[in-house]
Amino acid sequence: MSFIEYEAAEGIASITLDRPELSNAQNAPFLHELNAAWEKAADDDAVKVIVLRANGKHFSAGHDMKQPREEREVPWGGDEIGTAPAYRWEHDYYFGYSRAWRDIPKPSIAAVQGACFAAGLMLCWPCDIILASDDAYFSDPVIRMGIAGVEYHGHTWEWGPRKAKEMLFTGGKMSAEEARELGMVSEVVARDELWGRAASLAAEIAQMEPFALAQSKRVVNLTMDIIGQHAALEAGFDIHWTGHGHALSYTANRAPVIADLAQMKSANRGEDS
Amino acid sequence: MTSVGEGVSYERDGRIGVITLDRPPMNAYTEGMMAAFHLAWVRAAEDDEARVIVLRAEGKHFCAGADLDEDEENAEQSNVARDWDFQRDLPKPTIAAVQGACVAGGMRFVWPCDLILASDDAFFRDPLVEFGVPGLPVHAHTWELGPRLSKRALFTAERVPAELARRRGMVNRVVPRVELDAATMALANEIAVMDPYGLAQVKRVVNQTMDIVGQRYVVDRLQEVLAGFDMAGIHSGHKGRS
Repeated sequence: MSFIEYEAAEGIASITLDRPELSNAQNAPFLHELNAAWEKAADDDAVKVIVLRANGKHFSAGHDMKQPREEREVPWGGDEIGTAPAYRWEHDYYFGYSRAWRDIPKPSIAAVQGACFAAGLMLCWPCDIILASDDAYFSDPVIRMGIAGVEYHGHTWEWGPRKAKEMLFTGGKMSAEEARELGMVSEVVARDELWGRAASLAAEIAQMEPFALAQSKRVVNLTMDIIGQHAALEAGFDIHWTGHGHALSYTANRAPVIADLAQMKSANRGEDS
Repeated sequence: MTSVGEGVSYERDGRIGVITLDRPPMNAYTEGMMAAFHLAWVRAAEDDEARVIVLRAEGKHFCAGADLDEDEENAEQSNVARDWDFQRDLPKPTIAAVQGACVAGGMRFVWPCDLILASDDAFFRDPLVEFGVPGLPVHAHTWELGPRLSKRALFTAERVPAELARRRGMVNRVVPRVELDAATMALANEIAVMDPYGLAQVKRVVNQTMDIVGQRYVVDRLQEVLAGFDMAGIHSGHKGRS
């Protein structure tokens, strides 16, 4: 089963999330296949620019929470004692993939429509430029499962500290336009123009000299690393994991989150967790 | 409301702890009020029933800054850095609701809060350059408003309106004056149903990110730099403008 479409033409690699029936929810095979597509685009000298887009109504609903436990790759709960294996797995794949995509030395453009929820943010944040359709919205609601946001703490960097806290405390939604005002999204376009605009911007950038593009990307990313972004993202991952550790202890090793998906959806808002 | 000391009260409304500056209409603060302010935060932090803490003010203005009529021997004795860190890092979400003037030390009350809501008549102003002093002893300006707007506001002592502060990221939301208290309590109650440990760790991950980029170091170090200036001139009403 394939979750990702890949095509490369005229200097542009298009990576398309293709699990629309589940709003492009991510399980482990989905992520490994997505990473393989990123690596293929990085390794192909004919590819100058990478576009990440999604089939269906929504960009991505985040991690696949409906997946049967026996099919899950993350080694936690059940007979698994101790959090080290799951911590390592999440660091390598959830955190590590996003971190690796961010540093691929080719410009990347994400085209986001509909919902971009929780771990969906971890697919678009590593991209250099984010375009959004006017129906796009962003949210990290995992506080409703007792967890302090997703593994890759881009929130403070993308939204600023006060808006990041508001989004994370409430689990609320941010419109494409608000994300543009805050600098995370560079352009908001009509839904039916999204892929066309991503393609034209990619084509414009693909005209430039590849090494100059690679170094333009590097100087911005290094600036962010020098002011502490890399260290802060690593430290943020560890704080995320205090949430999993707390939940595994709290539920006697049954669950890495406090509330399950059903509770989260009904947002049982009047009662103690 | 229960007074916790001079000009500051604390009460709990359901799951929300509410600290009120209660020396209207200007809420100009004295040394005694600074001490009471810290005690109120300690009380709110220790109140297990309080999931979220709101800071608000009675009267037309949030806070006009220090009461310049106070004797200078009494002035500026509180441990600003200690109180700041306690308020900023206590492991519960905190929300400030600001109306009217929020001047000089008034900003020191709201900046360590996690979220800031402002009414449409609110403005922020650090006028200390007029007294020959380079701004407040706690330098959060650059973090809150960005370097260019901070410099301009510090050079001119001009007002930063609520809407501009929102666009720079210092204020989360601007609401009509009559809706400020209700909007603040609605947001506080929305947050108060979340898992307390999750909320504490959300706050920590953002604060830690800001610490890694140097915010704590700059705030603490600049307080030492700025402490070298003669604050007594302020209390004698000296104006540095020439």
